[in-house]
Amino acid sequence: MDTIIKAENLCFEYKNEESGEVTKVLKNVSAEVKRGEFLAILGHNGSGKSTLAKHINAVLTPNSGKMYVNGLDTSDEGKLFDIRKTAGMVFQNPDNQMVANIVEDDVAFAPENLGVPREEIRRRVDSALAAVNMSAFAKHAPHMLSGGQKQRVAIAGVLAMEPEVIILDEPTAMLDPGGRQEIIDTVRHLNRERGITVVLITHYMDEAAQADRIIVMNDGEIAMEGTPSEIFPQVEKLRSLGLDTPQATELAYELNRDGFNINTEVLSVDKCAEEILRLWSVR
Amino acid sequence: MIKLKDVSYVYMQGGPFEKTALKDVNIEIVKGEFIGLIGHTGSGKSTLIQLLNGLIKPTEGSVCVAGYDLTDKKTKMRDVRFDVGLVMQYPEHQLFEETVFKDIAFGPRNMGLSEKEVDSRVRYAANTVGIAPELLEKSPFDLSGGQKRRVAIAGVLAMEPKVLILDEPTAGLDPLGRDEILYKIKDMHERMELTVILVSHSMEDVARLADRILVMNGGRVEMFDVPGKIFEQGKRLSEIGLNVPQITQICDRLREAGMPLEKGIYTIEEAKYQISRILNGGGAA
Repeated sequence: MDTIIKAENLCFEYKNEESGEVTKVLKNVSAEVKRGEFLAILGHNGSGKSTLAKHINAVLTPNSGKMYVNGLDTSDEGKLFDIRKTAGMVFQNPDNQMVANIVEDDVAFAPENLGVPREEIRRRVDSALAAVNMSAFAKHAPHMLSGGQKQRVAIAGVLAMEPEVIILDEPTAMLDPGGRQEIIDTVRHLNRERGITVVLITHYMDEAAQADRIIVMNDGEIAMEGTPSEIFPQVEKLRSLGLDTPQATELAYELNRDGFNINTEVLSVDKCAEEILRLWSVR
Repeated sequence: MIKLKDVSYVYMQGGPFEKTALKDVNIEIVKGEFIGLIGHTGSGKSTLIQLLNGLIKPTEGSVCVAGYDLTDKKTKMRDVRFDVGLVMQYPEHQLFEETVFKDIAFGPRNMGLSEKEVDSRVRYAANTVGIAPELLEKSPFDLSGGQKRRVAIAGVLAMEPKVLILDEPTAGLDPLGRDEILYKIKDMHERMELTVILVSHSMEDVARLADRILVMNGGRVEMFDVPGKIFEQGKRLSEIGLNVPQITQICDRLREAGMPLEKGIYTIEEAKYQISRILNGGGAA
């Protein structure tokens, strides 16, 4: 797999105009995302994770260092159009992302702005709505939908640009458990079936557990990096970074600490139960 | 402290969009109880909390809260609002004053208290939610998300309500911010002998804090019991669209495979205790 996103010694800071105080949000961050990968970014509020994500589609550009998307330098304003076509972003609040009165018009908004021909727009809208399982709602009014449905329409709106990368900034934070599940299923489907590269920013450990790889941000730097089964057994370290662990991993960790020979690299209910039953059977 | 008798609520009665949001609800909550209120979107939980605060009146039945009969026309709703504090979802969106102090003082000032009393209440409330005195003169908009939310909660606390209702107070916060808020709520509950109703989507959070859990489904009370009894019914909870804590799911799985674990385990400590005991060759607890 080749690299689609690359941050090189990326620094970003902002200055409070009144006090002149400078806040360093990102400090020398270097990271890569492979084409087709599902990457989750974790970190407490203020850790820099959203700021990093906003660099990927050039909402923000680095003060120093570089961000490349598909080889394009995000600091090069002439490439802005191509970068935004390559990497689309979904935000936290679904209500802030709706622009039209009908679902399919909303999804058509971006390709219309890109000057895509009419028949092609039709094809893209239908395909995008199908991908998020919202075809049946094409003629509905967005404000009558549930939070999870609205957020799926927002994802469809990004898909209609046919991006190679989708960045989601806490897309489930305002949803109920049912809505959360809809979004995570949709994201996994897009990643696995359509090969779209996914960067998911989340506070939910169970969502991050489904990613191929996790980056943990802390104080503007990358604090941890690895697969979910490498990251989550480090319960103490995660706690010190203000994060928690899926309960399944925590139980395995606690039992292991008490001297039981249990594998702590378990992330799911199934695996954890399986491990405990294995211990029970050999007892 | 709270008593609902045969309560029903119908939205837009007689209209084309008529919808029954609550049906035959009977609940009693005693003073100082910590209640977790759970239900998926559309289960009727939001309607229920609006009834408790007197924002809406039941179509049928009676609602008594903190000594007020909310269905009695003579009850002064203004007094009810001071005694039944409601912290809405994303309460930080409702901050509006120039300083944190003024924002927290808004409620108590409306109650007609003396400036001295207002001052002491603001300071007490701010301290209770963990807002440092030096932040009181700052603009609320310069604070972090978690701090803003705690200021909004302090604004309700400063009215010294008898009942505090919080609608999803941890939505959108990171794990640390979430734990801080929940810890503060628990602390307030204990220090001020508050009756608390915490609305949440998170079974884990509710399980940790509540004396009893009220599960709403389809406008009716589905379950109302202590956490252990609620989590014994894992299958039913999943059926009505609720998330059962992972730890409860694991223990249910183990028990189905024959391990002699008790039903309704919902904390990691309890699971660890019972499992280690069995693995060490002991019998059922």
